Amino acid sequence: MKRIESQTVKDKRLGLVLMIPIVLVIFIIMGIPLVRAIYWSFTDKVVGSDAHFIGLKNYMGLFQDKVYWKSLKNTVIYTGGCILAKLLLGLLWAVLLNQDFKGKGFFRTALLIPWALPGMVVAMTWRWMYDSTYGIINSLLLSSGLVEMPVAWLSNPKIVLYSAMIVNIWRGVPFFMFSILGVLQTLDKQVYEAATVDGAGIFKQFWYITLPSISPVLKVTTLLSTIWTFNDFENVWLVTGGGPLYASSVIATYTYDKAFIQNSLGQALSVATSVIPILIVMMLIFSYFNKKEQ
Amino acid sequence: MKRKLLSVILAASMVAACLAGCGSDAGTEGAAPAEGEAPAAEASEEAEASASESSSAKKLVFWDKAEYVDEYGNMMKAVVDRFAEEQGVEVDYVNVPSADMKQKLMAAIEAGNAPDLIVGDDTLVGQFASLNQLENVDDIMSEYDFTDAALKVGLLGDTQYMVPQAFTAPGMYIRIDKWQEKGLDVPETWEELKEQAAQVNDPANGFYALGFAMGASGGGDAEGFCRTIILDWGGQTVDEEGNVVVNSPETVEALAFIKSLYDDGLISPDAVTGDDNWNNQSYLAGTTGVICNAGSVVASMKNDDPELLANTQVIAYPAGPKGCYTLGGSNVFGIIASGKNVAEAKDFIRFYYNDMDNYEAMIEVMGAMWQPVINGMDESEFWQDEMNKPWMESSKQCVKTYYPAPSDDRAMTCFSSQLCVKAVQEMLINGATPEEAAEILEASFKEVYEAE
Repeated sequence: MKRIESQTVKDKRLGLVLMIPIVLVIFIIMGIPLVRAIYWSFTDKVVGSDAHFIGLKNYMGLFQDKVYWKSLKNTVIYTGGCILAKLLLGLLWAVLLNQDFKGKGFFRTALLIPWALPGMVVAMTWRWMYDSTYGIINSLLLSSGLVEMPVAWLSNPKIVLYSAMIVNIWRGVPFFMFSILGVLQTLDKQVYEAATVDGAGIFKQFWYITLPSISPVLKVTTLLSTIWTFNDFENVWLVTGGGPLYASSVIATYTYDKAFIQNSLGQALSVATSVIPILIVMMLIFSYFNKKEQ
Repeated sequence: MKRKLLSVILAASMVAACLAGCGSDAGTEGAAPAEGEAPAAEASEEAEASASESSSAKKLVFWDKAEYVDEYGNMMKAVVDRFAEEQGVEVDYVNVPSADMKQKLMAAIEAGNAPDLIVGDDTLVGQFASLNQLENVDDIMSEYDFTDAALKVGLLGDTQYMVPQAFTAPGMYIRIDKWQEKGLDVPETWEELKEQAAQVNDPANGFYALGFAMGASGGGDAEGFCRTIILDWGGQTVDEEGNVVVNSPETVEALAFIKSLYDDGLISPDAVTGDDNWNNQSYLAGTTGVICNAGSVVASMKNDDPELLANTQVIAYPAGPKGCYTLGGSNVFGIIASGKNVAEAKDFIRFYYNDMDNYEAMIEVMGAMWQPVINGMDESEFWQDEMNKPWMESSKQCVKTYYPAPSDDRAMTCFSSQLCVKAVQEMLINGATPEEAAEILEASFKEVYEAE
């Protein structure tokens, strides 16, 4: 018994020792820049100059900055809305694509295209489609009589954020879909057959068999996608530029605006750093539920 | 015990591999020759000599703004090659798209590997001057016969920080076929333009008369347009002494005029998120009747749409009630002060200007998009051509983008922050009145000018 315990301790030690190199690499590549960025958020740093410590001044300014709060609110709406839509649509498509029907291979390939396309191409294509003068979306809406005037997808402050969200959802659904589909394909069909024999309908089968089976993948996929969506810069910037008048500004684009348009690196880093606690909380919640399930 | 030893060896080797990966490749430079080559001692001497030579050889890193005209890149590359050969300086010549230049440069400066020499828009390079990142170039500016206007381009306070390469005066592009369909002459005033635009405007068929972008995601077109109107209406943002004077009845009237263009539906609603490419693209797509732009649009039309070019007339900017200003830009050389080869960068600029025939050829190859910064070139056959003459005239009348404010970092900051655009957006998006927009504008300018 003692020998087994001693072996377990040794294994743990070996594991720890083997982790040292990767921990060192992560610290050098990510830790040092992160620590430096956090420090700079407390300074008046501008490009090329020395940073002077100014305490909480950047953060005080931030909390009085209406655009910051607007960007934070937009980030929450953007993240929440996109994740919910991607999750539901991804789940739906995965379940549909798991059925046997003709042309399944074609659909699987076609639905992967949005995920495979470069972000720049996606954004430019959607910008063109949204255009109120020659965009295909308005053209279809007008010709079908659904609207009388072109919809200002990119200039109406009330809808511009949703326009950016649609692009993110369109591009992100395949990630959910294929992650879920991968698990669905490993499920034993006999379990469903047994459930059918026991009188369970489609919804009960989904609720009691499918959902618990895909739950771990759903959690990981949702966490990863939440972090990516929360930090999404490329899509929002290329589709709307964060405008008009910050109507579609999210934390990532506001950080860029502060750093590269207003030339205030210190303030930009305070914007970026201010959301680190939110991301940490998200990860802790995920870890909690993951542990609970285990 | 074996496992412990193995783990230590594995960990050590991984750390070593990582450190080796992070290190420089200096070790490979002195690598021993392969078997069968020169004797070991000789090879070692050769390797040492080679290492010594390479350490003494200079490497000038030059980031040039990518231009629409391919021939420019070829000509500049030829200059670079000649310089490298004659001066014995290795040159790393890189074309950087204008839209990426600022971010790349900021990142490079922070990372400590900034290029030695850059060419970019004066508004962009000027921001680095205002951040104290550029080398003083008073010496170069005094060695060549720059025009009076060119001498003002790179001046911040009393010091020259940028060497002008060429003016890129803007013109107003007008779809003359659409204007002629309605029997209209080209407009001479902004009010006249607005009246004519109302007749040409046809949004139901996907054609907006005017294409003035008003997005605030960087770039200078929208800010330049707003400031032009303010000046033409008799207003100023900041006066010659550096006082913020933007909140005036003239500015309010100018803002009201800008607002009316959008309110009357003469400009696509998408303009409020449009950047510097948006107006080019909408004009090239044939959905816009008038844009203000530099000569790059001509280059695109020459290559891709000669029919549109035939239906286009480039005219001088219209006048406002109190004047007619053209805010002009230019391409400039800037030397990064923290670069390792400041002297070589200066030598390159001298090398570039010492061959005036090549300079003139380079200007001409750009069509009329570029106008020379050296005295006496406007009398050439090229610039006497009726197609090219208006661009030269426009460049002579241009004032700086932040005119009449003194050249300093505050002026640069206000321009790059697009304060006027944001005030106009307040009217267009949030329904602010021109009076309120002028107050917002005053507050934002004061925030910069009165900061500690």
